[in-house]
Amino acid sequence: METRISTNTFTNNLKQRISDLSIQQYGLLQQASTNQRIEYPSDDPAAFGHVSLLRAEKSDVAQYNRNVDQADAIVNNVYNTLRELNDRTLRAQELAEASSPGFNDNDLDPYAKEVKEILEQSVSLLNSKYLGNFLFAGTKLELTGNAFSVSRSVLTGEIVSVAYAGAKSSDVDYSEQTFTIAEATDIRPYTSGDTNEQFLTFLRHLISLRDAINAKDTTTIRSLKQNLIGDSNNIVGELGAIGAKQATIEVAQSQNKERFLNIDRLVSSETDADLAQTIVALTQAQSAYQAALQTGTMVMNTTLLNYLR
Amino acid sequence: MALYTTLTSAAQALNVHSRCIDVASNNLANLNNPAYSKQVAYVTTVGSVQTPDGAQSLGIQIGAIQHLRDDMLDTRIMDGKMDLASLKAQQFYYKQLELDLGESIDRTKDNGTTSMSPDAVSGASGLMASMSSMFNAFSEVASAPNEQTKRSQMLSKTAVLTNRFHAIDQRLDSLGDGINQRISNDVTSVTNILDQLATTNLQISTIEAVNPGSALDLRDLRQKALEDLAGYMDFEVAYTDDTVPQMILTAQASTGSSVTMLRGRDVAGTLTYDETAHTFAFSGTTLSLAGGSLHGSQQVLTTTLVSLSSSLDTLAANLVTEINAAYNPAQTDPTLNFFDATALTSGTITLQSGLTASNFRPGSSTNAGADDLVKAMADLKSTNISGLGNTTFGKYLSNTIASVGGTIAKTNSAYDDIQKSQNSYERQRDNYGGVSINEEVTNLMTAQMAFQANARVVNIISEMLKDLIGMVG
Repeated sequence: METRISTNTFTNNLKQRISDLSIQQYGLLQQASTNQRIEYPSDDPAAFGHVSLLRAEKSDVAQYNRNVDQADAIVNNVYNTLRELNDRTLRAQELAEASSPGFNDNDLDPYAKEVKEILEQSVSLLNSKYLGNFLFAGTKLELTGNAFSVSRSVLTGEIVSVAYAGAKSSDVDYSEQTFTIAEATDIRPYTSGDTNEQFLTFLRHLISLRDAINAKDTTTIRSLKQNLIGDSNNIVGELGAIGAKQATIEVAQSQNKERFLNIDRLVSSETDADLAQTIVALTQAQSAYQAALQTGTMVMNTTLLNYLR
Repeated sequence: MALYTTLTSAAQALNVHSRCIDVASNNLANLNNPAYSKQVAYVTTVGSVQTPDGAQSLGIQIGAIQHLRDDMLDTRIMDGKMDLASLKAQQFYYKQLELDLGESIDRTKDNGTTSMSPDAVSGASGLMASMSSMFNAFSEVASAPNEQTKRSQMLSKTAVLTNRFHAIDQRLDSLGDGINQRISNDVTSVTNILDQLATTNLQISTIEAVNPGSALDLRDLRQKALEDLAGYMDFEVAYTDDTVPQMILTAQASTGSSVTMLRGRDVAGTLTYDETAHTFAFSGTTLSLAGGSLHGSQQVLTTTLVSLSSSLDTLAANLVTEINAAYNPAQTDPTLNFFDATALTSGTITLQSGLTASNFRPGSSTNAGADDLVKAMADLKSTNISGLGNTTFGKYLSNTIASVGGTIAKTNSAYDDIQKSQNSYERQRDNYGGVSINEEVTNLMTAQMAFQANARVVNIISEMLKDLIGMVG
């Protein structure tokens, strides 16, 4: 307990108290107006460090989302195109069956013409592009010619041979384009070089089937029928693999969305001020401030000099 | 005759009470002087003498005029000032350092959805955000390696990162230069205070050679000078056992021994500062400071600033090395690097000269969709880097920032703690030796009434003597 109070004790104490309350009010006002309890690292170093990592992760998730949307579009395009190709394969099998001996002895010309059409359509499908990039050329997204180039007969204009100009697994610098679509989740949306070469084989089978039907070479037709079944199995297999990629993409999209919300919640819990508590504390500080000013001036103004005549 | 004795006593009393009024009015004059200690005039009796008429009082005198100062409180307050000054200097520079780092949270920019651009969703700015932006740009290019726009954006974002490194490095250098300049100014101030102390000591010894302990105002002035000095550096004060004690002011040398800086009226040398080694010396002897703004400044320069600069340099060096290794695995031709491999500090990190969006190689092959190189660069974001203590780039930087924040928070907390106790000590000193208007006015009134009473006595005796003389004449 104080035994003696000098004049300056009052004023110094009042100054200190007003200063402390002003600082307190300023801090609370900042919190209330920004709804943040931390702004700089020194406000809460551990929380700031954690939040800065969370914010970086949030932008990572947004990036993953951009990647996954792009991958999704590519995969969907590949899937739709291969479904069309599979339909062509199935029709080609039917035509091969119809051209077999003992099945139909009629003029086989229409079948040969249809196989020719299927060949043209298949080449066109396999040269599909998305946003200017070949879907079935591996990493050779841009080529001077086509991914699947053809040579035609000068006389008839029919396709006589096809070649694949895209990336092959036997290439020295072979790689597949990879997208990161979620945390620790990569995907290769395009078909591989080996798969694309299987499509080339299918096109060659169609050329051979057309020629065999034209030549009424039943033995070759019979053998090609088996080849076409194999081609269809390959395409169906690839469709299955793409289905798995689509499932991965869906999971990634859902994961990203959830992670994004969770990060927001975590950042909020670390940085947000409790507005109700802040306002209560601010009101208390303001009351104390007013009381300090009022009582301080009251006491400071009164000395013995006021009563001397 | 008794009348004359009484007259003499009354005249003496007039002087004494007049002196008391002097003391009270001096106290009131120094009401707002924080360095001043209240003075008290102690009135004592001169004594008494045996006369034929019995014992006669010889009157009153001012026994002593003393100031109310407690040496122990003064020492504690001085020690507190040394600690506070050191922490205050650190607080001041650390705040600037924190601002120079440029890391802050603004939640108003934080909201968004996954469909927004990665740079927009976090709302962050600063080195952390730039680094994250660069790695995301790598990922963006990996998903569309043949798009020139995305490559250009990637290079732009990398340039933003390198520019931020440079800016922070420059600001830290500038802060260091500023601190050095401030230290030089403070060293000059210390020299001036030592000279002032020497002069005051001379004045005290001159006055107190005749009347020891009488130079009260000068002693107050000396104490203020010592407390001013405590704001710059730590020291010890001792006094000799002479009749007029001499002040000996010493500092601690780095060897642990004491270095005399001031002895009485003589300053024993000069305080100097080595800007390169960040050390202080007094007349050639290196000092080990533990308080004052000089210590605080030295601490910031030699620990936090150095540590932060070193951490940023390490981060920059590892970014350069690892990204180059991912982009140019063979490392046979340095012109094929992503970053300039010779620029390994935060002040110099820069993109390889000649690298453009057109000649940037996202993949090992020239195929438009090849992205293995840029994918490897993007994957570095979540890779533990051995040069960073097996942690990721993001965690390393986050830890660095948090460490700076922790140092600042610790300093602020220490400052608040010491400030509280310092306020208590100062309040205690003020209550002990501070001036109270009410007390002094009361003392004035008492002295005034006593003066008036004794003046009346003089008047009465004068009248009585006149009557006596009149009777004779």
